[in-house]
Amino acid sequence: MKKFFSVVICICLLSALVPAKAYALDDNGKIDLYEVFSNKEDRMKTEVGSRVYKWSMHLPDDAIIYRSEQANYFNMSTTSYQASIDLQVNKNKDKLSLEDMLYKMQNSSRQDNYWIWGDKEFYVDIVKDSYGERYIRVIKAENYYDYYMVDKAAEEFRDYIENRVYIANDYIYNLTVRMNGEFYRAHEDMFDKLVSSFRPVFDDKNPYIKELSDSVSTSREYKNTSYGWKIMMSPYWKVDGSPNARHQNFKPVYTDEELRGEENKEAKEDNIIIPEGITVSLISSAQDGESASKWAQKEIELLKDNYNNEVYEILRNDSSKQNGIDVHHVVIRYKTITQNPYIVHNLYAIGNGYKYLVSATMKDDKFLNDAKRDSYENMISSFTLDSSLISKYLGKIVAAESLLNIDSLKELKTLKYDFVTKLEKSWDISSSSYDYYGNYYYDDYYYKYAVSVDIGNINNNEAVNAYEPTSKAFLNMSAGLNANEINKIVSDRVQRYISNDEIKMSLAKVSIESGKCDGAEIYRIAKEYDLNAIKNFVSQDPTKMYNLEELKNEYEYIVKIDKDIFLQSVTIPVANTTDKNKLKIDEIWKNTSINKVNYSSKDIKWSPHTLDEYDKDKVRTDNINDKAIEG
Amino acid sequence: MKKIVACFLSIAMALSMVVTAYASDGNADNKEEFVKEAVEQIQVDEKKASEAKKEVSEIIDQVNQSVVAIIGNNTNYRQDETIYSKYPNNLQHGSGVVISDEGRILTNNHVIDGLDDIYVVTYDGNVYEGELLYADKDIDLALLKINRSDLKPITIADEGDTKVGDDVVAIGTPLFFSYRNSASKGIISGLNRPVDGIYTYLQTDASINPGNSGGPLLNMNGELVGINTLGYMYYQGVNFSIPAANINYFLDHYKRFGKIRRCFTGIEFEENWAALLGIPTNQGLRVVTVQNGAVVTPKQVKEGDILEAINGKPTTSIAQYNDILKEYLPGDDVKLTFTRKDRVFDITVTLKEQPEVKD
Repeated sequence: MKKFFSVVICICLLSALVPAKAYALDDNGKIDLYEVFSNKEDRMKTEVGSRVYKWSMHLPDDAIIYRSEQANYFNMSTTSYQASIDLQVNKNKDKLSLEDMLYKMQNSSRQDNYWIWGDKEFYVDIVKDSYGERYIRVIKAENYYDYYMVDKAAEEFRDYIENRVYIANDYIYNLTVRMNGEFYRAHEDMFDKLVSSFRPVFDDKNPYIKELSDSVSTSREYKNTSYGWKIMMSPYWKVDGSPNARHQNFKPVYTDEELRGEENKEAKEDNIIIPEGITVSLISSAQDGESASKWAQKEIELLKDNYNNEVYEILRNDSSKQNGIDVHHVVIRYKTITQNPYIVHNLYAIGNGYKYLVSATMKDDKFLNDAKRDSYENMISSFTLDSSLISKYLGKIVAAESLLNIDSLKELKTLKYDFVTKLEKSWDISSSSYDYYGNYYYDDYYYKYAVSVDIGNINNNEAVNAYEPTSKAFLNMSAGLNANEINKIVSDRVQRYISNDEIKMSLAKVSIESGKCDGAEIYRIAKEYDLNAIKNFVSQDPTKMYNLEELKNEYEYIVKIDKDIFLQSVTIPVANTTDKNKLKIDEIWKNTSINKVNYSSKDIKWSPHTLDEYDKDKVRTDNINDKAIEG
Repeated sequence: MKKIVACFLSIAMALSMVVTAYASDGNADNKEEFVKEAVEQIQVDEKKASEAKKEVSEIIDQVNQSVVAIIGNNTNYRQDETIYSKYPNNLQHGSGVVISDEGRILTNNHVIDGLDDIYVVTYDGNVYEGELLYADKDIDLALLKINRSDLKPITIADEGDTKVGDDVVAIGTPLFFSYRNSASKGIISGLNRPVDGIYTYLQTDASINPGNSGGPLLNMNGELVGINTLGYMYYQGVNFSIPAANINYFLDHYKRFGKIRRCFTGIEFEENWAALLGIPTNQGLRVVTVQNGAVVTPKQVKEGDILEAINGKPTTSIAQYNDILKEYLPGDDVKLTFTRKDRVFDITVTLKEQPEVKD
C-alpha cells in the first residue's frame, strides 16, 4: 500500500514538473506571420468575382480592391503586376449588340477627344476570347503622354491599356486593364494572364473564387450596442449609415432585378421610388403605465386624423409577445402613390425603459409575395431587446411632446408689420427674411451679418413660416410693400392655375372670392384636388400617376391695406387633407389679425370670381369679340 | 582620400588661426614647438572625432539585440466594406526594447492598445507571442513578456544625467515593418516638455516616425534615456520621448505593486492658457471642483483657489503637478500651498491612491 502511494505521489510530482519545465523552455520563435494574419477562408482564393453580376477574374495575392456597394463598380490594383483593373457592369437597358456598342464607342471617341485628355486607339476589333465569348477589344494609350513628352519618350513611358467590352447576361461589362508600359514590355505574359482571366461567368461551384458580396449573402446578427437591441439581418441586407445609431436604417443591397433577374418596374414608374427598408428607432423614454398597445392605438388615431381615409387601409392591428416583450403590430397599406401602393409594417415595443419602433417599408407586390415579404418580416420578428447592449451613457430621452401642451396656442408674427396669428404648439415655427435676391434665409446671425455688410439693401418685405409635422401643412405669412391694384396682384398670383392641366381637366378646382372691410380689400383663394376624380382618371389611363403626398391643396388669403399687401398661405398634401386638418387651417385665419383687426370676425360680403376673369388670353379674345359685335 | 583632405584642411585652418601669434613672437624655436604642438593637437582631435564616429556604430551594434518590433491586428476598427484585400486589416506596428533577460519588453501603451494578439519580432527575425503584463494609458507605457531568455537587456541611464545637447540615437521600426532596427541620430533638444498635458517628455531631433513608438532613445553609452513616443506630422526634428524618470517610475511601481499606485488629491484643475501656449508663467493651477473622496474638503479648498506648490515645488501646469506627485506614494503627507485672492494658505494632506476608472 505504502509502495502504491509512493508511486502515485511520484507520478503527481512528475506530472506537475512536466508543464513547469515546458513553460520554462524558450519558444522557438518560428511563428509565420503570413499564416497568423491571413484570412483563413480567403487564403486559397485565387479568383475574384460577383455572383450577382456574373463575372470572375484572377485575384493576385497582393491585390487591393475598391468596389461599390453592389460591386458593380470594381477597381483592383496589384504591385506585382504593376497594373490596375477597372470594371463597370451596367444593365444592357437598350439591348445593344457588340456592334451597336462599338458604334457608340466610335462616336464617343470622336466627340470626347478633348485637349490633352482622351485615348488614342491602336487596335479596335470584335474578337473571341479563349472560351469563345465575343468581345470588343481595344488597345489604346492616353493622349496626355504625347502632350507632355516627345515621340519616343511618350511611347516608352505611357501605360499599356487594353479595354474589353463584353455583352452577356443582359449586362454590359466594360473592363480596362492598364499596366506600366516599361513593365509590360518585359512581362507581356503577365498582362495576358490578367486580362484573359476575365470572364462574364461566375462558377458557383468553384471554391477558389472570392465572391465580393459574400459578406452579406447570409443571415447575420446585428447588435446595437448603444441602444440595447439586436436583430437578424436577412441575406443581402446591410446596415445603412453608421452603426449603433439611434435611428438605425437597414436596406437591401440589391434590387429584385439584380438578385433574381426580375423586370425592373420602377424604371417605368416615372421615377417614383419608394424608399424600401427597415428603420429601428429608439423613440424616447417610456412613461409609467405606457404599453406598446396603447402607444400603437395613439399612433393609429394620429393616422386617422391626418390621412384621408381613401389613401390608407389598416391590414393588421394586434398585440403579441415577441422574444420576451409585449409588442404591437400595425400593418398599413398606403395608397398615396396612385397605382403603386406600399406597405408600412410597424412594430411597437416598450422595454429597457424605452419606446422602440421597428418600421418596415416595402412595395405592395413584395408584401403579396410570401418569399419577399419574409426577408422583411423575419427581421421584424427577430427584433429583441437586450439590456446588456445599452451604452453606459444612455439616460433619459424625453419626447418634447410630453413637455408641451400641444393644444395650447402660440403666436406667429412678422416683426415690422402688425401681422399675427395664433397656432397650436404642434406647429414648428421659423422666422425668415428675404435677401435682396428674393431668396429666403432663416438664420438670424446670417440676417444680421447680411444687413450689416450691405446696409443699402433695406428690404420692405418680410415673411414667417410654420410647419406642422403630423398634418404636413405648411404656413407662410408674408407682408410687404406692393403699390399695384389688388386685382393686378391677384391676377398675377392665379396665372399659375390657368395653365395647370389638372385644373383644366377638373381634377382640381379653384375658388376665388373677394370682399372689403374697413378699407381693406381681401381675397380668399383655394385650390383643392378632387381625390375621386384623380382616382377615376388614373384608373382609365395607366400612363398617368400621382403622388398624393406631393400634390398639395392650397388655401390663401390676400389682404391689401393702403400700399401694403399681406399674404397668408397654407399648403397641405392631398393625402393629408382631412376634415380635422381643414378645421385646423380654418382656425389659422380665425386667429389672424392685421393692424389689430381680425377680419374673420367681420361681416364681409364675399363675391365669387371665376378663373376665366384672370385668363389674359380669354379676356383679350372676349374684347375682340365684343368689338366685333360693336362694329 | 577624403580623410587626408579633411586632415590637411584642419591643419591649414589651425595654422591660419595661430598666424597672428606666430608673427608677433619672432622666436624660431618657439615657432617650431608651437607648430609641433598644434599638429599634435590636431591629430588628437582627429583621433577623438574618429573614435566618436565609431562610437555610434558601436552603440547601434551593442544595443540592436535589445530592440524589437511589435505587430498585431487592431480589433478596435471596423473593416471598410468598400475595400477588399488579402492584406490583413488594421495591422498596427511599433517598436520595443528588452529590459530583462527573462524576455521582458518595454514599449508604448499606444503600440499594443487594441491588439488582441501581440507578436514580437526580435533582432534575428524570430517571432514570439507577447504576453501583456501591464499597461498604463496615462504614462503611455506597456510591459510585455516573451518566452525567450537569451536576449540582451538594455541599461537605463541615470535620470539626472541627460542634458540638452547630448548626442542620442533612436532605433526602431519606422513606417514599414521591413525597416526594423532602423537607427537615426540627433541630440536632446529639450527637457520637461509638457506635450500631452499629462507628463513631461524629452525633446529630440533624432528622426522618429510612425512605427518608432516604443523604441529606445539611447545616449552615447548605449543606455536608455527615453522611449520614443511622439512626433509632429509634417514637421521636422521635433520629437518626444518618455524620459528615464517616468520609465523608472512605471517599472518600479510594477515591480513593487504590480501596477502604478498613482497619488490622488481629488482636486480638479484648469490648465491656464499660458501653460498651454508654453509661455513662461508663475500662475498656479485654478481649482475647478473638489471630488468626493478628495484629500481636502470643499470647505478647505474652493472653486477658484489657485494651487501654487506641492511641498514647495511650483505647479504651473498639470504635467508638472503629475510629475511632482510621481515622487510620492499614496499615504505620504504633502503640503499643498494655495492662494485665494491675496491670501496664501497651506494645507497638509495625506495623499490617496487614484481610484481605477471602470469601463
